[in-house]
Amino acid sequence: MFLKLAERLQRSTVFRLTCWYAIVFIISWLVLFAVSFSAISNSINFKDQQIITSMLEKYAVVADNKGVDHLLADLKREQLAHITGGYFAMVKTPAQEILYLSLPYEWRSVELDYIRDKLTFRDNEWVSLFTNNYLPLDGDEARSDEMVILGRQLNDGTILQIGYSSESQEDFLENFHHIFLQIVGLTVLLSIFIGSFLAWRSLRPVRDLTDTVQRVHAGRLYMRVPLKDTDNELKLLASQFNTMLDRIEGLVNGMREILDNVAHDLRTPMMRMRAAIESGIVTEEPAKLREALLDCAEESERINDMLTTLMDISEAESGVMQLNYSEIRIADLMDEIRELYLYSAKEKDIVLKVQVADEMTLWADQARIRQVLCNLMDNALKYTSNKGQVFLKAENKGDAVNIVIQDNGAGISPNDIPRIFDRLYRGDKSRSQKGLGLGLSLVKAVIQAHIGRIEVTSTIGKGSRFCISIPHVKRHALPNQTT
Amino acid sequence: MRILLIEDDQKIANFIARGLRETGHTVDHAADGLDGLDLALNENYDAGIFDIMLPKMNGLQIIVKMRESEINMPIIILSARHSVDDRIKGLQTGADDYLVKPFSFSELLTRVQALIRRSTGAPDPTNFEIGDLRLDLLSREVVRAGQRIELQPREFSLLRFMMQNAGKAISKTVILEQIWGYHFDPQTNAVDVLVCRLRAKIDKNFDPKLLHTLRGVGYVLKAC
Repeated sequence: MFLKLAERLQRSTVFRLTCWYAIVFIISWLVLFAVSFSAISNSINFKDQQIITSMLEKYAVVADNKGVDHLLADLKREQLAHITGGYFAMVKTPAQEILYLSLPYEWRSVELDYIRDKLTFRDNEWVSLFTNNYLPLDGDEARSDEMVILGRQLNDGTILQIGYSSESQEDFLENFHHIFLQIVGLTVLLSIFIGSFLAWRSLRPVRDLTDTVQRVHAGRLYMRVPLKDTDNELKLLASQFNTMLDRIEGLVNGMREILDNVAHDLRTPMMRMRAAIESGIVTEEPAKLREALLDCAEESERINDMLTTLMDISEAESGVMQLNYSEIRIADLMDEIRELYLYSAKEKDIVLKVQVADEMTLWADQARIRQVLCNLMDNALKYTSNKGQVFLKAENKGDAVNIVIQDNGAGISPNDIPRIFDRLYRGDKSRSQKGLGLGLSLVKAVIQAHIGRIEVTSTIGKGSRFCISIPHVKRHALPNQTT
Repeated sequence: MRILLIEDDQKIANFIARGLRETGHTVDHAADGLDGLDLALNENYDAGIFDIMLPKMNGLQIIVKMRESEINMPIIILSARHSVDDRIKGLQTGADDYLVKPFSFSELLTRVQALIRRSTGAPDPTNFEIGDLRLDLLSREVVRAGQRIELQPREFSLLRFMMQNAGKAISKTVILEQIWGYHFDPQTNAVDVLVCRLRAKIDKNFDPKLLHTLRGVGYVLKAC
């Protein structure tokens, strides 16, 4: 249980961030401590040494001017006045006879012989004296201590040595140490507390994101990450994520809609097929049976056509249609279309006119554009009465190619115009004609997949004019649209 | 002719095999890719009909393996996918033709026979005759009941194609492909119109009628 919690903690980003905060905090405190500690101890040392040097200077002047006896009297007087009490002072003759010795109180149990033996002398240089018998004032156990001592030989050969115990300054530094450690402990606790709070707070957008993802995962595709006011990277992430969700939701809804539509649209021909099958099953007459089978064949063909076209439309609309771009000579394409519809036109005595400049080209998927033009031509011929006219022309308009298909046929009623591109919408006139009601939806979807536009103007009884406009850019740099 | 059929759907396989046997072919059927490859490598066939989506090994992989072993019989691929890219991929792999499900049996038969004819290199006949209708490829003459009929180029191509495949149902898709070279249906009634015109010229003033419409399937040219 505890192990599990520890493991979970270890994985938690808040925990890790907090640890990092604390570690960095402690390290910087330690560095600060080390630097200030050494600075303080250096400056205390320096100050002590200065005091010793000036005392030695003063006593040397006294001895040289007034004689060693005067110096000894001075020293004794000052010891009584506790000026030199904390210091080490020793005066001895060149023959090592000690004339005066004063020790810090804590050195009281150090023996005189020990000092005589161990203490060396070098003129005007610092030496040190070590003991294990240092007894602190508060009477604790003996500790070790070191005295730093400066010596000078006076004019008459007498040796004067003055020093101080480093323990006194160590006491001070130890206090400093304690206080410092307490502060560090407090601040580390504080830093862990504040750090974890900050980490928890700054990771809130990430938690929001996780929450949202979980909800989306559970099927609620409409959920969005709440956006906070502060402008930072996490807000950018959240807003990008929301944009992605918008797009996914759009695609999914689009597909759902397509699926619904396809299912709905296929039900009608399937129902007709079922009716034919049922009437075939109950009939006894071979001729009627044959008729039923033919109906089935026809309806299945219709279902197939519908499925193919609906798939094309949804591919084009959702942007997954593969477009094989190439440079198309429009004149060739139009010749081909004209040739294909020549007979249909002749049948109805319709004049088919084509107008296109020889050198005009179009950057598009040839098969798809042909499909678009075929659909529009089919419509134009279907709704134009005998002896009418269909006009097919292409022209450059700015940075786009406009292809216009114009007829002087029945025209489209103003009520129908906004809806003719809808899937399966069929105007009143169209209902009596053969067709799936998908042609114009396909045309629009394919043109839009080419980043083009389609416009229609129509007057009842005068005819219709469809104008498709495809941008005149070579899209070599762009890959096929597969997104 | 001996034909290898690799198709995992039992009903479709039976339908194709029965149809091919009725038209005088011998058919071996394999229901998965490995069995199919085994047959293809060890037996001799005049043509193959392979589904793409197969258990164990797909149709395209079988073709690759066969071509590696230098087995060059003509192959038609059957696919439920519709996109032009799949078609191109299939043909690049080494298939000779490509048919999208659902298809009519007559369309499959037309394609199989065209492939076998092409691969065996039998000379195409230049004269065709159905009932009292005759077509001569060399002089480009069409005569019915002793009467010359003038045809436009597309009408002539269509009639020639239908006479080459007399008695078989021909779908709109095949006509678009054969007469205009379109590899997918641009959804147009141009085929109906062309057939109507041809019918007006060869059938209108004559009996019996030769060019028949099979609803939901296509057209057939036959003398009865």
